[in-house]
Amino acid sequence: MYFESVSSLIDMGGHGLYVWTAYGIGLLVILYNIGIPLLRQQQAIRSIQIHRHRTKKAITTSERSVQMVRSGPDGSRCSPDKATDTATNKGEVL
Amino acid sequence: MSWRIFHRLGSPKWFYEISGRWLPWLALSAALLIFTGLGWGLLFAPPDYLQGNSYRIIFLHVPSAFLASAIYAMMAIAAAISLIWKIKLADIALQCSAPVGASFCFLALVTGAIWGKPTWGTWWVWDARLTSMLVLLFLYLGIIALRGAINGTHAASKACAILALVGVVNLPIIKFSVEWWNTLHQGATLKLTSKPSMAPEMLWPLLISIVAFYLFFAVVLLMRMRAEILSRERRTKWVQALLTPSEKSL
Repeated sequence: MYFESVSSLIDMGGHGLYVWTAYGIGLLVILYNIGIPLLRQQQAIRSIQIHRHRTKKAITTSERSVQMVRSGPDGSRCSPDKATDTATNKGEVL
Repeated sequence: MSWRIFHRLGSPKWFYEISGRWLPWLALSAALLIFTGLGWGLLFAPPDYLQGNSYRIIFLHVPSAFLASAIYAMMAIAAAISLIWKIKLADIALQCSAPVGASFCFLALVTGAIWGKPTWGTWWVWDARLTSMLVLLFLYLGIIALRGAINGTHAASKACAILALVGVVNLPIIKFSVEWWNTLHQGATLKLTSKPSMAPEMLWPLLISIVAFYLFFAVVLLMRMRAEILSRERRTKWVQALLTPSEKSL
C-alpha cells in the first residue's frame, strides 16, 4: 500500500475529504444501480403471482357458481341439465 | 440466416434465457475488476507530482464520464433499431439504459466538481466540457421524463427513440469540447493514436476501472431488462410457465 498509516490514508495529504466524498458518492451510485433492478424483479414476480392467484380464484368461483346452478342452491331445485342427468341415470338404473 | 439470428436476438424469451446464463459470470468479473481497479487507484497508486492525492478521483471520474457517453451512444443505436425494425428488445434496452446513464453522468459531474475544488479552486465553471456534460444529463432526464409522461408503450417508445437520436449531436461536442474551445478542463488523458501520457502505475488501475465500469453497466442493464421483460410479458405463456415449476429459481 502507498500509505504508511490509516490516518495518512484518511487524510490523503489534506485531500482526504474530497477523495473520500467522491468515492462515497460513487459507492452510492453503484448500490443504487444494483438495488433498483433487484427491486423491480421482485415487484414483477409478485405482480405475476398476485395476478395468477386472482385468476385461479376467479376460475374456482366461476366453477363453483356453475355447480351451484347445476345442483340448485339448496339442493331442492334442479337445473334442466341436472334433471336430464338424473333422468338418464334413472333410465339406466331402470 | 443472418436475419433469423437478428430476430431471435429480438425475442424477449430467448434474451431472458441467455442473459440469465451470462449474468453470474458478468457480475463476478465486474465485481473483481471494480475492486481491483478502484482499490489499486485509491490505495496503491503513487500520488500525482502536481495534484497530490486529489487526483485519485480520476479512477472514478474518467470511467463514469466515458460510460455516460458510451451509454448514450448505445441508446441512440437502440433507438434507431427500435424505430426501423420495431424490435421490442431495442426499446426495452433504450428504456433501461437511461437511468443508468443518468446516474453515471451525475457521478462524472459530481466527482468532477469535487476534484475541481482543490485543483482549480472552484466547484463549477460554465466551461464547454462541463456544460456539454450537463446537457447530457438533461438529455437523459428528458428521455426518462418523456417515457413517464406518455401513456402507452408504443407512442412512448417512438418519442423516446426520436429524442435519443436527436441528442446524439451532443456526443461529438463533449468529445471535442476540450480541443475546439479554450477550456479549464484538461485535454484527453487517453488517446488511441498516441502513447499514454500517464505513468503505467497510474494508467493500469485507470484502464481496469474503465473496463470494470463497462462490465458493471452490462450487468445492471441485463438485470433491469430482465425485470422489464417480466413485467411487459407477464401475460404471455412463457412467463407464466417460467414461474410455475419453482418460483424461487427466477
